[in-house]
Amino acid sequence: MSENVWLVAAIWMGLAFAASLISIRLGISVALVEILVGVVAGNFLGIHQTTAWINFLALLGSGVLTFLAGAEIDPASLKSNLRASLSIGVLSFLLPFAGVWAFAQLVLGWGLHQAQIAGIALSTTSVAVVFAVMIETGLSETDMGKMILAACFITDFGTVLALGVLFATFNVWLLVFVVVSAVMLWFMPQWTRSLIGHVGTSAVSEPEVKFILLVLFFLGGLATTAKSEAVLPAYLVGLVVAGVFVRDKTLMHRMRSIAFAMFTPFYFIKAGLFVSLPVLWASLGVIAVLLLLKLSTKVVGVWPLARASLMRPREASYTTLLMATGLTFGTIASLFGLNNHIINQRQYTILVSVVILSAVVPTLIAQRFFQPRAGTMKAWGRLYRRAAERRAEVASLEG
Amino acid sequence: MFKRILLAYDGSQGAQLALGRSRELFTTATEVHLLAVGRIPEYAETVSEVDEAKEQAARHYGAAIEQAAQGLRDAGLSVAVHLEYGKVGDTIVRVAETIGADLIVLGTNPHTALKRRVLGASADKVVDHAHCSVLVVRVTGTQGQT
Repeated sequence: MSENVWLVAAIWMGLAFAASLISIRLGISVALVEILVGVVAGNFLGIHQTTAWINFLALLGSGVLTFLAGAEIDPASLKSNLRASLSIGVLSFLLPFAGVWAFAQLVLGWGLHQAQIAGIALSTTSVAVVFAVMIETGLSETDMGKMILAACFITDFGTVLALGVLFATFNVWLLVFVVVSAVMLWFMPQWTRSLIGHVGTSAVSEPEVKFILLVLFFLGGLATTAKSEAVLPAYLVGLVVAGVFVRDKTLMHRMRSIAFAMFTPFYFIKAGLFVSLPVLWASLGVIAVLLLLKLSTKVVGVWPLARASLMRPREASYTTLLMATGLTFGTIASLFGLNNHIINQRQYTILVSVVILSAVVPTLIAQRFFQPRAGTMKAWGRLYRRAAERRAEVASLEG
Repeated sequence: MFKRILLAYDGSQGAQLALGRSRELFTTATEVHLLAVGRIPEYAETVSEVDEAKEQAARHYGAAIEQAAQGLRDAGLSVAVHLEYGKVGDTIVRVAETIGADLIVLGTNPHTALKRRVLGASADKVVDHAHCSVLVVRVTGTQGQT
């Protein structure tokens, strides 16, 4: 059976199809449902193994997903409240990363690299979860909403950077990877714009999609040769072409359709497949402690900075809780650790469980107890701009 | 009488019935607001996923709500159209508060007891949490009952 490619593909696509229907019915993200379907398949349907081609499709899924995450950022939003979003975003990554790493190594007794994977997986935030919450509550267009989204992006950038750098082998290939990536990233916006200008976005042969995939595959290949992680260049490529994608939605639509139909289902179902329910049950205490640790380190890192950035306690708590969400990069980091035999299945189960809970628990608390009003969030933007102008005036007087 | 009325309208049988049953109320109102609520996925994995859901909802509800609004405008009413995203009940309550509505009108479609228990009913949420009066028009079989 496992040698019959068509039947194996049919089973996996059947799982993906079921996940799509469930997600539409329940109004929950298809990715989350695919992970849960993977958990069911792994624990109850006897699907315990993946094949080389499933692993390849799953790998493409994580790469394209990361590319889209980078490309979804609006550069203008990123620049508009840079001071607040940069400081909150950086600490929102650093404190949970260091805190969870230290806890996993010193208290749980995990090895150095295992503890680092834990730190990376639980330092993440989720731009998409936060974006959905903002849209639902009508806050996405407020200044504070844009600042929080930009801070989430910076946190995720820290996560991707850590994943790409910490486990890399520092040799000549890493140097080649860095130099080639830097050159290609520099020219990517120009190349992409030029290609779209010449062939448009309506050619049946889809040259612009193939060009983006070509760059992702090539830089991913160099990263892998340097023992780094392919998600790092994927995120960076997404980031540098984000401006092009903001203007040209057609290319984004096509990348998204390809990713969601063919690549990401394999990635998310695979991510769920290796979660062991007996291990999950036996590790409930550790999972709860790690979730609390993620939340508390986010509080220590983000809340004081949010207050210092002129937010009132309610809005600061809301911001902190949204920054404590996480999903995409948490699962990517955990699966990277498992695929490279850095962590074992027990550790993977614990980390993925905490990651999924961190998508749900902080969001529910934020919406239930700390939901700010749109007027307050708009007012924060005016207050923040006035403070920035005052700082500039003082600086010019002192200068 | 009610001056600012919010009608939750998604083009469904229940919504059409609510529109028909409440037309008399609209004649004394100074403003009628039509609201369609598109669902977006909770705990989304990518921003694209949310954007795509928004675009689909806009395509799905846009034509229906504009058609209903045009019918009311043709009758000489002042009509505003809103397309929002999120959980239906929460969004209706939020928009009603934002525009200062003094009546919310909504239709409900028949649900099984299990679906009501598992997913909850938007009408229940609106009745429980709205700051103003709520008129629920219920579809039962082929007839509507108020």
